Amino acid sequence: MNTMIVNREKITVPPAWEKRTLLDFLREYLHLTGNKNGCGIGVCGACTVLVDEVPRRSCITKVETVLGKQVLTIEGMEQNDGSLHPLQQAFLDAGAVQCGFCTPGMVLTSHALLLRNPNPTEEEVKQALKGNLCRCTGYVQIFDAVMKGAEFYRKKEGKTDE
Amino acid sequence: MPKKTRHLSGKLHVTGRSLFIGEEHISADMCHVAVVFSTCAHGRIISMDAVSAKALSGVHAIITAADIPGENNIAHGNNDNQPLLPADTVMYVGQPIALVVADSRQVALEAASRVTVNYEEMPAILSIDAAVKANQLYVPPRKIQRGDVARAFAEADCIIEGEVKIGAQEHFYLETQRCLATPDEDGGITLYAATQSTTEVQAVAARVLGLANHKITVDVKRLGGAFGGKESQGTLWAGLAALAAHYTHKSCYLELRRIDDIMATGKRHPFENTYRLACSADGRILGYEVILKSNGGAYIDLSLAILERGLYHSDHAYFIPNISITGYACKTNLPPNTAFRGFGAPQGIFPIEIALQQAAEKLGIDPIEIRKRNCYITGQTAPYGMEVCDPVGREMLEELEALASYKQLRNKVDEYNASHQYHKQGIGVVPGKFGISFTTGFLNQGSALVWIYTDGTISLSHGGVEMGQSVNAKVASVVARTLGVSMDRIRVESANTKRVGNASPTAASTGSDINGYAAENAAKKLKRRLSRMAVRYFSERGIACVEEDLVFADDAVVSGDARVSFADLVNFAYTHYCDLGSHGYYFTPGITFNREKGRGTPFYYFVFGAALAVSQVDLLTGEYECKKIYIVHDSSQSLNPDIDLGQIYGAFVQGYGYCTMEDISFNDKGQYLALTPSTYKFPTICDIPPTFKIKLLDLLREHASVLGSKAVGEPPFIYGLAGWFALYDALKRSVPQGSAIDLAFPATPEAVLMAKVQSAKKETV
Repeated sequence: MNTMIVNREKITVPPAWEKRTLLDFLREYLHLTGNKNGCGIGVCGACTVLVDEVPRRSCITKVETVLGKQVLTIEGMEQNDGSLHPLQQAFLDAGAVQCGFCTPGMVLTSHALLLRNPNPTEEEVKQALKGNLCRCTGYVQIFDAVMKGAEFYRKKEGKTDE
Repeated sequence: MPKKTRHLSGKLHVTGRSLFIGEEHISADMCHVAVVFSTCAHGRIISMDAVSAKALSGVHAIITAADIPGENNIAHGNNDNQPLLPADTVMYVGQPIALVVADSRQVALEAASRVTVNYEEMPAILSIDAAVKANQLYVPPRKIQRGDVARAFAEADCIIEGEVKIGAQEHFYLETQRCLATPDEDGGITLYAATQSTTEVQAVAARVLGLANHKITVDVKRLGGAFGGKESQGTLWAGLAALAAHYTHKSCYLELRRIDDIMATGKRHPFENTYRLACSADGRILGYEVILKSNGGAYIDLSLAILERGLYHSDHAYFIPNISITGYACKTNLPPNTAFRGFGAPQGIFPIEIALQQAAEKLGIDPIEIRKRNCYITGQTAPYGMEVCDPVGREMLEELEALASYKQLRNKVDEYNASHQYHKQGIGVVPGKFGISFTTGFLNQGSALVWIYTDGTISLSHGGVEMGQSVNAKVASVVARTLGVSMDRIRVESANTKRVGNASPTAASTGSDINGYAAENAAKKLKRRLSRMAVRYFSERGIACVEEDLVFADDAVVSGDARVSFADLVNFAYTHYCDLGSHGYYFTPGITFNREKGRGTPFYYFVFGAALAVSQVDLLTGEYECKKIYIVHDSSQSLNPDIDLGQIYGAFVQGYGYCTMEDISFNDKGQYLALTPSTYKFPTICDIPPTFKIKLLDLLREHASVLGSKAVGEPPFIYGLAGWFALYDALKRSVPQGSAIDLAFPATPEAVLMAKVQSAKKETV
């Protein structure tokens, strides 16, 4: 089946799009413009989306390689009731947002990290985010946001264990 | 005091709902524009073959200089002549020479790649040296002089001489250059342009299309970063999109690919400077002579203003009784170099800082101490004759010493160095003194438009462009404070030439100063009108009061025990024929400069600060790591300390990248060699040290701007230079005392290794 799940919704992919990039598909076909094209060669990280919870550079990912998989874009990060995900809130509270162009990729890359490791060290946060470039903030507040946001994932993990 | 809003679009950004240029106002039949770029640094176009490009299905038009209906000149505010598309001679690699308009981006790019151009190559001048030899200068050398420099050198105990070559810097705004042009019903065009200057885009698009300015509307909601790179350089791409829309009568969208953006746009100016410093035995500066030469690129762009700011900052934070500053702006065949945060100041500041550092070594004085001894004190004037107001450089350095526990830190670093042979640590310190105002005097004006609607909500338009610096939050906070209302009543509109005409570029750190004052003036007019209405409102209810006793606070107007909510008062005012719209205007008083004499008042005030960096160098590989950063910054009474902190972090890291890792060389064909983020290295999160402390000093200064605040955009960029001095200091600790270290700028790991190797060679000789 030529389908994929995007933000929990099943999407049928028209054949003409299969050879195109996932970023173009998301932006031009699904009109999900949250994720950005910053460099077009998979280096800056502005186009990052999660495919089965793993960060992927959508600008160099062919649609055909994600068929049957789950894609999460920044538009899918909000809670079901429309409120901000605690990680998004942490980005706001830490002042981790300036021009906003790198923000969606930053949030998603951090989300992927914290899903698999809710208790990251400083070094682990840096290693996870080193491929997401930001020219405005100087990263300090982004780092703070991820550390603050991690609390939510730890609590969530705690609950699952109970 | 309500919690201060940091970013009006923060929620939109973290949810991905914020819309950037090209993400709204698009239509189904929108065309895409691709650019045919010059591959030749200097040459005549002999022929252009677009047959196979035109043959591609989906191509609507190929547009060249011959299709420009108006004047083929995009130069703004100066006497240069820069074509939108050159008719016959190309001046740099990356210069647009034709446009392809097609149904899709893919087809447009494919068609553009099929256009072949033949050139008759002409000699290209690329370096500053070559330009000076060929007398390719934009203007005769500029000079600022004071006192008797020759005598100062004759009387000096210590003379330092040297030469510094400072590299370029790529802006790397995450959002590349772009513009969406949509035709209006009357032949006009609306431009959604990535620009810091709506006015310049409007005027230039009108000129090249042969239209009146009022036929062009420029609208900018937000930019994905700019840093000066969209002050003048957004104009070319907006002009091209406008031309395509005018020619095809369709919406046309032009978005540069990253590789094309880096290839074709100007950078921070490379400078080559020579300096001589004369000091007394106790480290006081007696005289200083500096020659600044900038590589301006193929068109003048902002090169003169940038050179001037370099000249005005050559003294940096220090009083220099006898001084001679000379500046050259060179014309070369590179993309026109342009504005970039700091705007010539970093290149003017670096020579005096390295000279002082070397004087400190030679005289055996601590590098902070020598800087403190020379900082401006009250009553002293800058070389161009202006009194340096609120001179707190020395206090900043003292605060920095306390913040960083400097003496202990120095001891720790010395201990580390004593016990490590192949790794050395170094400490770098720079103060900051940055002049605020456009040095082009007439740009120091702003305006704003405020409407209060009948439900008590407010629409605010101002001349500033939001590019992440939160100018919208700052200007809105001025209106909120003036009218005593909460921030969520205020909606800040896009920057639009229809609501705010003749806006100055959002640049020179002045965005919140000039537009904040303008918005305050607009809000004050409304407050006066509402005060009259409030007196009437209360008197109709049997409460006597006078306008002077009214307090506007907490979304209400209060007189003693009487209170009316802001919304009720506004509705009352409307039904009693009160004008609820207001335009505010402001200009910065007293900014004048005589270029011939090199004298005047180019700044309204100065921003001071100081920074210290600790870095560790691996002497065997040249690799290094920044370990600690401390910054003290004088913000006077900040409109929003949280926003200022973000600006300081960001500016420091950008400045740190500039003097350490960011290297954008070009080859002998005038082509830039690093066109992607995989080859152009700028700081990542891994370059941020575990200790990064900033102290904001929020004492109200006598000389400041709106509501006692100070500008913040550019000044902290200078602090980044501390990173270079930390590496320099580390290298100095690896060689015998008195040995020279010749460290390049930027101090890439390769440059650090070369500096070490060169000094080792000298030792063995």
